[in-house]
Amino acid sequence: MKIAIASGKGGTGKTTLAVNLASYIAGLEDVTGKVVLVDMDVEEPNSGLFIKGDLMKSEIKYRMVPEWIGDKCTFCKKCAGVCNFNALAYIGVSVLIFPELCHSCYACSELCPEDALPMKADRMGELRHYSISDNLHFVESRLDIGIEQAVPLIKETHDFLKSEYDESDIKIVDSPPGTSCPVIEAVKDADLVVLVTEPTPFGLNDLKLAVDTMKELDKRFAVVINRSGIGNDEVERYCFDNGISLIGKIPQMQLAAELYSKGQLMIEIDEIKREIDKIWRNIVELK
Amino acid sequence: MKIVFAATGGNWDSKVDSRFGRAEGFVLYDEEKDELSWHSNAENKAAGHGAGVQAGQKVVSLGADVVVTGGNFGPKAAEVIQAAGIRMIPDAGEVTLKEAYTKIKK
Repeated sequence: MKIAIASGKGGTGKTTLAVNLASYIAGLEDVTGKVVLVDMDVEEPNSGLFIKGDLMKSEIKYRMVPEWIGDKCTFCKKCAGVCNFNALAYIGVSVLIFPELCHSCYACSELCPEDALPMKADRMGELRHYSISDNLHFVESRLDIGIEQAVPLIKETHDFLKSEYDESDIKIVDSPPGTSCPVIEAVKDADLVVLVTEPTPFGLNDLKLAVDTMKELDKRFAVVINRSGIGNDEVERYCFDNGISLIGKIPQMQLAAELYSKGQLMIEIDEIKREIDKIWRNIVELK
Repeated sequence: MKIVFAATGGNWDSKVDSRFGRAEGFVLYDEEKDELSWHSNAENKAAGHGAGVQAGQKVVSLGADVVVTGGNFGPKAAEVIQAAGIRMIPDAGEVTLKEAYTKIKK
């Protein structure tokens, strides 16, 4: 089972829900198999601030980008013309490659009649695999500084999960914020996407964008309100009016903020633990 | 000498564009022929990625010796232009092409 925790707006509590939910489920007796928390917010992974364990494995991740072999090039310009991402520039005396714009589609490399653009591996980041407890694992992928594209590393992280875990293991994916390519890649094979929002006009605005995205992707999704008690009831009304499952409300509490600031879990608070339990039961029913 | 201006329009009274990669277009002034020509940048203005690379490539293909923009060149555009050995003049400001040209000549 793969559950993605996403949101339109950043800072609504994706990581909070992901780390607390994963830790909570791992402690349940009726959960068999492994629970894996996966931080796919590769540009700024932060689940690791709340969850500590033993590093089992670390892998450097690469993506493929073309390399220009000047001696072979006949300056036919096919490569620059075929690139959809403007990652190559033909400037008369040479072909410049901009790896940060390259989407590793191989078009230039495959279509080059002179084999002057072989693909080579380029480091993009690192994946780390931790054991937190007997049945709770943690996978964190982190892009190197200066690397612009998150999608290839998220893809690699999905592949890692596939090779390491069974279908029946529970994967809780902490997704990137927003509604662009990295989010779409992170949620792509999730059985259910949980959209975390806050009950404010900003939260609602970005929730609507996230809902539209999930509908476009034909994804099953549900909503969790974090910091319930602040703002207004517009988010609840929106969910009700649109037939969207609202599966939990994590209350606004000073103690929760204090625990968060120390990098601790909120399920230490009974009231929040009960809500996380409710969210989990609803997820099982919906997925 | 061939001078390319990032510009908002195609004549001497048009303003120099403060953007480069996403400028409205480019005006090529061929000093020898005393000719002014307009080259739209519409396709790059709307590009999702790599506008600077494409715009840089365009300036190279126009055969420029010097390129002028009202603001700054982006890092990727600068790389392309530099590799082609073209002289870059940034920060021309919000002036007309005529004013920018006069300033360069001084």
